Amino acid sequence: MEQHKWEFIKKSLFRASSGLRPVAAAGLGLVLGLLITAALGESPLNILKILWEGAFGSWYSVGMTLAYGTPLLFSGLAVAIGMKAGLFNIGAEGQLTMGMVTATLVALRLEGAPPLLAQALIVAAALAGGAVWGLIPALFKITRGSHEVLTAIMLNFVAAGISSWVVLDLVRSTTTQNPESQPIDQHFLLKPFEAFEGAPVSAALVLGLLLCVLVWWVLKKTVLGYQVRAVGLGGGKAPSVAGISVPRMQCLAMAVAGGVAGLVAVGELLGTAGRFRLGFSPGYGFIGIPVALVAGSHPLGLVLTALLFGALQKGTLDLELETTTVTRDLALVIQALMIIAIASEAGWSPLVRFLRQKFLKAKDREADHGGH
Amino acid sequence: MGAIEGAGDAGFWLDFALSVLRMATPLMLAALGGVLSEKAGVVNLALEGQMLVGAFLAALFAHQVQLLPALGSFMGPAWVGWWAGGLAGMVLALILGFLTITCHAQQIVTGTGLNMLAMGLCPVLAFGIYGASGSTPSLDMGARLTWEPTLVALSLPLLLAAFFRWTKGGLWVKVAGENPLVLLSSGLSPAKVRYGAVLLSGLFAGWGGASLSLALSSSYSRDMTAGRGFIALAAVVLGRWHPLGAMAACLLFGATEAMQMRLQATAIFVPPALIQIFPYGVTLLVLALGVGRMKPPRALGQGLRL
Amino acid sequence: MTILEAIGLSKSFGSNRANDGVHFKVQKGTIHGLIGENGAGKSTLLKMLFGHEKPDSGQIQLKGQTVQWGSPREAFRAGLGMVYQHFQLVGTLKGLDNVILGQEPTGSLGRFLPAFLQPIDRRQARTDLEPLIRQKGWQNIPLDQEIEGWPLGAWQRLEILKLLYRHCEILFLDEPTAVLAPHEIKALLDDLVALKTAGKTVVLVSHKLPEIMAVCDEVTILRQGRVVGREAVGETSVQVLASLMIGTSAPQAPKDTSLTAPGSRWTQEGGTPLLTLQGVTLHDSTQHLDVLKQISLEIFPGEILGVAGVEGNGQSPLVELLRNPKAFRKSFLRRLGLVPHHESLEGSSLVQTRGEIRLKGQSITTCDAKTLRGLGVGVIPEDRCQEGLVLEMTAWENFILGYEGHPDCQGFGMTRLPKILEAWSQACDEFDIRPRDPWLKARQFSGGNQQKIIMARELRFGPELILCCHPTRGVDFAAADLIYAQLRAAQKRGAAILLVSSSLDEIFHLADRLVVLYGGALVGDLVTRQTTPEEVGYLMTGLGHHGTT
Repeated sequence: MEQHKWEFIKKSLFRASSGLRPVAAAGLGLVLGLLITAALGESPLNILKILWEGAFGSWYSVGMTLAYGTPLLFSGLAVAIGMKAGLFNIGAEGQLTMGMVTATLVALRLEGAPPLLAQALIVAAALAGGAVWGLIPALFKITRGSHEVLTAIMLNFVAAGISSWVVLDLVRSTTTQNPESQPIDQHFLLKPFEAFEGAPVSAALVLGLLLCVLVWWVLKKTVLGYQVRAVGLGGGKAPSVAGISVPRMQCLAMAVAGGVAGLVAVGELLGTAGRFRLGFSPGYGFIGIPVALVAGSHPLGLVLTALLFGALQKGTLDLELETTTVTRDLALVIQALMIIAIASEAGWSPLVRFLRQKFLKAKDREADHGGH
Repeated sequence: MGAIEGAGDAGFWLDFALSVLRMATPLMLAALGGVLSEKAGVVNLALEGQMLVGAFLAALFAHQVQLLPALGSFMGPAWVGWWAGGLAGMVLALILGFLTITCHAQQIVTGTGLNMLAMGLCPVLAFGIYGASGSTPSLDMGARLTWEPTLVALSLPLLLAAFFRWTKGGLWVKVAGENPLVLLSSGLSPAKVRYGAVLLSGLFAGWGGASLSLALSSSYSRDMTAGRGFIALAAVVLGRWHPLGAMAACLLFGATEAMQMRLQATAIFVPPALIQIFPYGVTLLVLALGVGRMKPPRALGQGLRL
Repeated sequence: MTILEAIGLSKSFGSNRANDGVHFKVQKGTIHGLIGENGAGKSTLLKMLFGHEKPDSGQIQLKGQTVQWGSPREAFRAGLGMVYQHFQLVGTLKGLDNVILGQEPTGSLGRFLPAFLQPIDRRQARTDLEPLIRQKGWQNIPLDQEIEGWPLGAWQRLEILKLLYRHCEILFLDEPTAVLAPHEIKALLDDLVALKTAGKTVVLVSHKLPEIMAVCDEVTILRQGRVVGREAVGETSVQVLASLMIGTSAPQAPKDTSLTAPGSRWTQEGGTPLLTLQGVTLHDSTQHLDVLKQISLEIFPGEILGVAGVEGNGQSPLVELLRNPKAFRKSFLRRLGLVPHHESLEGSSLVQTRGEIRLKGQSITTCDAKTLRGLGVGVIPEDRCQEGLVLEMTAWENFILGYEGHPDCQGFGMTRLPKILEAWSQACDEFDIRPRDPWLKARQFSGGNQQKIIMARELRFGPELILCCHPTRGVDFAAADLIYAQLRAAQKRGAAILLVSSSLDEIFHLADRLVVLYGGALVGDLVTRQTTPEEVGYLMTGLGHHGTT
């Protein structure tokens, strides 16, 4: 009986630790990043303090953290959905850009329309723009066998080109010199929540959270989600032997992922800016990669990591103001280190497994002794 | 074309050709690095990052040496920068190699991480060292490199083609990218071959970056590679994994870039965005139409779990 | 003179004794046959001889001296060469480069350069190779062309050339004829004889007895990890070899090998067949040979039809075709050249060129896997880890794989977890699956329990046709008994079962009727009760094929 109990504890420990591994890797990334700041002559503790204050110091800071986290929610989800289907979606940046392009064009056409209808149409446009851009790499992969990463990278640049053409040549703002589009109808804008002292936290955050739950539900509870996961996890032929169409699932997942990435436009266009500002994204699509990786592609875990990365984004902005040597780019460094630490997990996990086995064996021996 | 001032004049075309070469130089260097590592079966997605650290460290070292004439008398500051840039690219490549070859990490994820690392680390260090501007001070006009990187970039494809055609190493690299197991059963080490290819690839990409900050301009500035590493990646595909093919693709891309600058000075209006898209659009189109055999090395992207 | 000798080699993997005191002796300048069924321990023996594995006990002697290999490279240096079943060649390289890889000659100037920069002296290589090629009288050797697209016979010659170029004295060939067309097989056997006359020693690993008889001087027979015989070919017969290999008394030519199986209960009763194949031919477009040749067979409800045959004679393509015929059509996209061969998910380069498949009288030649599941076809695939299970998914998820759309598993597009878990726990009782935890990943189950999960899943909704491959491979006795009982129960219920197995015992234990595949063709259709393993072994090893029929 005692033995049985211990088995159970061991098993749950094992399960928990495998889920925690990416988190540990992320911690490693953070520590390495702080070491770099130490090399630059800053006290890591001080850096941590500023990061914390910057991200959570006041309601406004919390609001800004949430505002920075909102697009990461969408882009992280876009990467995670790709991963669930076994594809590496490096194209979220292009997808969100195209979502923004279509959403802006539609919004500008709808000048004066009833706000609710207009908002619905704008969201649909953002979805559609992103979905098309997500679908293309999947189609390339299925029909031509080209790797989705290669085509998606190129599509990122094509999207950037198209967006600057649209914004600068088609709908350029007539009132300012900034590289941005004409503003959309003021009535379409989502109101920021008042609790956050003016920080631009809008319904887009709620949409993002709902979407995470929805994606989690679809993946976990529905037949469709089951099939997508089977395709993503099935390295061999098992899914196709079982009659699941692998190409169809991959297309579907990438289209949905693209659409979700496109929804970044909702927060930006309807929430924050009310127009298409070129360069609005500091690489949300790319930051989505560590967001998804650290969460282990779990749609609910993603909520936490997206907000964490939002905090990192906001906190490093304050670092730039409050220290003389560190810039916001530190966030990028930390994210990069996290990606690398998680990617190379296979390299250091044998070590971890070895240590864990030693640990467990020692415990086992103790348990045996206890039994006698 | 008549609208472009001076078109038809021999001097104009010579000028244009030279600027194409100058624009294509960093691309060619990086693309050759890409060809080498992809031929060995490793996707070097970190080309962009390697170029960036190459550009930054090249400028950094050139500037520091310029401040210390005693050091500079041994080798011109620009040349110190050139080698520093190459080595910096190599260091990044070493990390890529260690993680993907020894630790069996996924090549693409690791490459993405390394790119972000370079994009974050360079500005952080530049800011830490040079303060608010975030860029290195300009080199003296006379200390800059001019035609030398271009010469390297033009001769490397030939050397690399010869390497693949005639040398033992070239043969091994090709086998490492097609089927590493064959190397093993022939008594060679696939890991060593891949390490070699990846390291050289980093060296070339680092030089590509150095040519940006030492020859095309006089200093490092933030995000100065501007996606050139990815254009190089496209050139590798468009050039069908052949050094000379990649060179041709880079010249094509360089020409569009040079053209863009010419056109801006004239009355003809072509949206710059369209020209910006061109390299990627062409590559995607060629992929979509499947012109010729677009066969990547068969073991490309696969780890060495033997 | 004995050139290579293994003395009492033993090797265990876990509780499985793969090799048990194997004595293996090869005379210099002879062709030695090493035969045995799959799992008899051939590959373990080879691995030890080539330094891939260290023997638990026993020793290896080369030319009278005891050797211990630290790595495969040492064995290679000592003159042992192997032509693997999967050729160690690169398609995009020229033949010459493939041959000299790792031993490239370099000019006198190159010596001063680091190894990787040394130029390859291809002219030197050619002069080194020319006498070897001339000696063999080989003509079609693609030395100067990329070898992609050349017939596999040419690849094999390059492999042999590679070994000769390295001055290997003992050449091992692992199942060399498995991938060859008939005329290539003949050429290969001639080559082996030529090698022998040139003073080389050849070890031919095979389970095709006619070939062994044709060229070998001596044969060693392995069975269940032990040497069960060592015969001089001149003093033995195929029957003796086959009986040693299969482990029965001497096989005999069957009295009646006509393909109609006249004694069959079903043909006598005049029932309607459930599944009919008529002249089905599968063509491999890269290797230019037919892997299935004009297969015609019928399966009736309530019948277990065994497919016997030495592995690699068309069983796998047959089952793959039956479980997803559509993948073997030249699809619209493929016809446009839009889907590259390596990307098509199943069927790879195989195309069905002729024939008709009918299920309950209805043509299913263009059906896909999903439709077939709907029509009541259950699949117990050959490779349970790759084809049967998604190892990273949980047990209950694997338990519904392929049936996730069934009304018992879902409602309104949502999986009905409680119902599935209930069915799972029933299945655990019925199939004795352990552990019963539905949340464990499939990877965490033992091989036998993985197989039981697949069985439970495929039998759950009472399929009418079950395509069942090697159901008890790597499974312990208790589990095997259970699996047999379940298959029998399904049969009793009226299901038709196509049972592919490499174990004749299994087929004789279960099947009512059996067909024999040899070289992709049907060479026998027999009623189990009216035949003997000896007769089937005779057909399996290709004797009937070359003999009177």
